[in-house]
Amino acid sequence: MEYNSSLESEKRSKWQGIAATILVLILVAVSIWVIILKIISVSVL
Amino acid sequence: MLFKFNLKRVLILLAGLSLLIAGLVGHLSESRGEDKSALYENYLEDSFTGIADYSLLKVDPTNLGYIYAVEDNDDMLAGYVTITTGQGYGGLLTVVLNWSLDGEIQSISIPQNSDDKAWWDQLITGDFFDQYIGRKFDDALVLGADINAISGSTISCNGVALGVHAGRALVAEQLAKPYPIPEEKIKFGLSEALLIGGLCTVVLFRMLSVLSRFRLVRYVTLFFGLGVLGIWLARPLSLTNFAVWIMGSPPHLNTNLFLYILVIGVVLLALIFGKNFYCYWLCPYSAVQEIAYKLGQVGLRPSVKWHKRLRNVRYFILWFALFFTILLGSVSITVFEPWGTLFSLKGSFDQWVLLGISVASGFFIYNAWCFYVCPVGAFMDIVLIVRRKGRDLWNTIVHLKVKKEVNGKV
Repeated sequence: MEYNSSLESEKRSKWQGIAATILVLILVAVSIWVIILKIISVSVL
Repeated sequence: MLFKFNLKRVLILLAGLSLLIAGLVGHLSESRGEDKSALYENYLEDSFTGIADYSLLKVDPTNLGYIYAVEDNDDMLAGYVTITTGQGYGGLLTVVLNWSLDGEIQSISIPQNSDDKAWWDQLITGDFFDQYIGRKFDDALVLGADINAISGSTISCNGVALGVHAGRALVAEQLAKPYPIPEEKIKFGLSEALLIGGLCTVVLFRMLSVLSRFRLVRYVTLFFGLGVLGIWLARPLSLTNFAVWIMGSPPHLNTNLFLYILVIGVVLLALIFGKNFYCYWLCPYSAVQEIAYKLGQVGLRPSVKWHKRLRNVRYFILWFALFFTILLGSVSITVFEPWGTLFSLKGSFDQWVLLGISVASGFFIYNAWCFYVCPVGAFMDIVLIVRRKGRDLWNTIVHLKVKKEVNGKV
């Protein structure tokens, strides 16, 4: 029982880690998208 | 391990080299356009439809000012046009003024500027430019007294005002009449005093071991930053504040003392004490994220391995923004951080999206923006690394010198 609960918490923390990483990657991607739009607007002008 | 070390050095070298090349290419393309007359003549034709002919009267090389005589359809002198520059938030902006024969402003246009569109649009919607129409060259034209600045876009307003002042100096010289030269006083006010106070408090809190043990003291300065730098002044430290120096167009000292204290103060303190006194201590956006995290209480965090990897993304974003800023010669590329949109409540659609995602991620991850994206934090980290490497190099030189002296004596 103890083994199972520790395994579950390990699994949960792994999924939480993946979710956090995906969230950060989305944040990074949106930041780069905003910069690219700025570059395009400057280049067009 | 050895491979990883080398890869890091290669990447740093490539990043440095690419920035140098971008600078070189940007400078060369700028040099090609050093004689602005061809470009300015396009501005003349675009801005004024009633001009039959024009001739260049004078070029003032000190502030890149041009004055043209304008003729009407009957070949009669109809007025003057001045084309000058002023220092805006994102770099130089071009001010085109149409003057009557007796030196009255007939029209004003800004064919080129590097300021962020959201802020710039405030000048148009706030009828800032209309205030100059009908003014004469010998009016005082003092920003804040005769001409109202637009709140939140004061640096852009100041850039236009500098261009107008340069233009009226050319007209006054042409008409051989004097004009009131505005007093060049450095403005030190409450905002500057509070900023110095805030920086000194952070230094005290972090350097005095008696105080640095208490976690609460960080929240005191953090909320001070949120109130003063964020909500009141809407002027947190931004990558733009560093980029204007890198591009060789620092803000006008007399009207932007605040930015000088902020940028030079934070960098100088980091170089002296080896600590970043701004991030996590004074940054208003850090305070916003702390609040979001407290409200969210989710506590997600990437694994240790991914945390380390993602931390380096900040350096990529810093390089990416700076590379294109230097290459294209436009500082407005660096105006993308979410705090500009949050504290001014002005921004384009994409900037609002970034703000939304950034605040939302703050509910789940502790200081997500600061840890993984913020280019200001990356810049400050580089300052601290340069300081450490410089000190190590100095110690090595001193050590070698001492060793040489000892060997000489033996």
